[in-house]
Amino acid sequence: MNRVSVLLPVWCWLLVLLVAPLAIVAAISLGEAADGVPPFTLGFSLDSLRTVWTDPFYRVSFLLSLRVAGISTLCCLLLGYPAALAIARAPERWRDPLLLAIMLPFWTGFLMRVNAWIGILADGGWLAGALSWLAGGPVRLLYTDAALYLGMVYTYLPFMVLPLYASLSRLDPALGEAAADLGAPPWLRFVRVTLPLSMPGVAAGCVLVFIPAVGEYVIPELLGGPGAQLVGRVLWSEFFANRDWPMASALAVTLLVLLLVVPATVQGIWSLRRR
Amino acid sequence: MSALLRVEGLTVRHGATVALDDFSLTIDDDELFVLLGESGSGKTTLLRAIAGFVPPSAGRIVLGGVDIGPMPPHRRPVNTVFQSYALFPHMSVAANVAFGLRGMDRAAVRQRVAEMLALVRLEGMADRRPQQLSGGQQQRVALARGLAPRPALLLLDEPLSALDRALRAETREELVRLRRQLGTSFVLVTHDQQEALTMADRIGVMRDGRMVQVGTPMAVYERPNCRFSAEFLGAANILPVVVGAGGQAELPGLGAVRVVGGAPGAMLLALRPERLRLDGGEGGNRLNGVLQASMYGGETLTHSVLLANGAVVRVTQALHDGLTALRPIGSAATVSWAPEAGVLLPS
Repeated sequence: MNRVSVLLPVWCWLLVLLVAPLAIVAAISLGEAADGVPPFTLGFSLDSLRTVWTDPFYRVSFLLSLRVAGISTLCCLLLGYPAALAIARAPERWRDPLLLAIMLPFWTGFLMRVNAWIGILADGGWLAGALSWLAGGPVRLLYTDAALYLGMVYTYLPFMVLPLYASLSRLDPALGEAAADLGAPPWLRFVRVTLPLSMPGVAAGCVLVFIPAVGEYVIPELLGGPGAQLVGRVLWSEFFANRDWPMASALAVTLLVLLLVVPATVQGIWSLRRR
Repeated sequence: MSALLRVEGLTVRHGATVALDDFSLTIDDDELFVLLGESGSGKTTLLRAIAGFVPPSAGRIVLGGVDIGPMPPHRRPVNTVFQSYALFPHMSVAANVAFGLRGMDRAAVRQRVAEMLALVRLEGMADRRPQQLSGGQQQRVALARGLAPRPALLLLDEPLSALDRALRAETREELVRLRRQLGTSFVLVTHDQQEALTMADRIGVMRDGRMVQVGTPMAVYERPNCRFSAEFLGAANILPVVVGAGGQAELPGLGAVRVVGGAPGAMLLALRPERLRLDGGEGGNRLNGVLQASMYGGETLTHSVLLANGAVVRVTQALHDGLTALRPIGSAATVSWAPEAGVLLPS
């Protein structure tokens, strides 16, 4: 009895803020678009979901989102791992300032930071200008895939670094010493001791970057080219440009299912390897 | 016996503090050398310097004729058993033991691992993870892992400190037996004097980054060369003494005693509690006092006797025949000893 009463607020919270909104989205995805306020009628039609799953336009958009998120995650991992390792192995008094430096950009507005990138990458901006001078011809950066990936990696890198740091800083330094003592040169110590023992951090970081990156809307909208029709952008235009709420909801539901499958698979592979 | 390892004038600084101060030491082939000292005496620093984890600011470390000082840890033919064991948690026991075996084919590795696990009596545990083993078993895995690559020298950093009492006594014997069998020299670091006395072929007593005394356990215990050595290894009563000529000496406030050796002048007389007698012994030195306390220890009884000058000496009596009654506290007691039982130390 006592446990039930203690957990009651938690269940209420989950019900009101998580289950109910999702149920509403799911219900709308089964409705039909209509003129009026709100612009749909409830019902039980699978048309929108079927369109999302069959129409090549949406399929391409999903695949593109997964690809962009995947490549961004990989870039974050390749950049974030050395950074996290360097912080974890830095002298004690340097660690907190370095971590702070990683998190500092988050204390200013996200939109402001993305807009700052527009200034840097724009045709008249200093980065594009410098590259044009080096290349001896005009170099376009803004509204290209390069700008899109730059924005994604810039935004999500801390989500990779922090869990990696957490897992690397917990490694017993004596393990590295033991490996060295047994004749392993530095690269072998990394491959056989540091890397395998930091895999939980790698998995956590990849999930933390990949999931929000798949649904990202702002970065492709502000930095990416018109071809970068990622799911987030498509969803936005279904809602606000087409006023097709059931279609937008069907996209949202599909994205959610997709994103539940990915971490569940990672978890599954992980627990299989552990056995 | 010939010298296996020579440490010459080694100095290690940690910031402003000097952990090892112009330190020299020779380790022979086929011996168990125990470095004994309090924490902060530099004994672990010495071990880490030999393994290559601590860069010396001066001095040489010569192993088998080769100066290993400039080599990184992974090139040095020494292995370490770490205090925390530092077993790889993501590898099986067999993979841990095989870690240091490189440049061998699979079959040879498998055979060596089996050999080492048999040596430490862990044959059935090859596929377990270290976390699934008891502390004693983990300690043996660490030992097998360190010995597997056939190091010229095995370094052991407080290898028994994480074990409980009963297991520690058993493991001491086991380590000594195993080392004799292999003939590999061990350098073992400990702060436990009992461990040092029972296991060592030679003991080095360390203090403040310097070697205080080196010798066999018997030599260091029976003939300490300074007050620190006498008090750190076992118990000792230390009395100031003025040594005269012809084996005569004066204990200030207590009277004349006979001593062996020593130079004329002020010195310290060290007396082991078990070499003293209470109300007995003939032909030796005698001091009168009052029994202040008696502590019963099962196999021994330790008396505290207050002497005329206010000094208290401890006398340990072995209870060969058991104990039925204690002497009354406050009764008169005479402490006696043979002159050769006392050791004269510089004051």
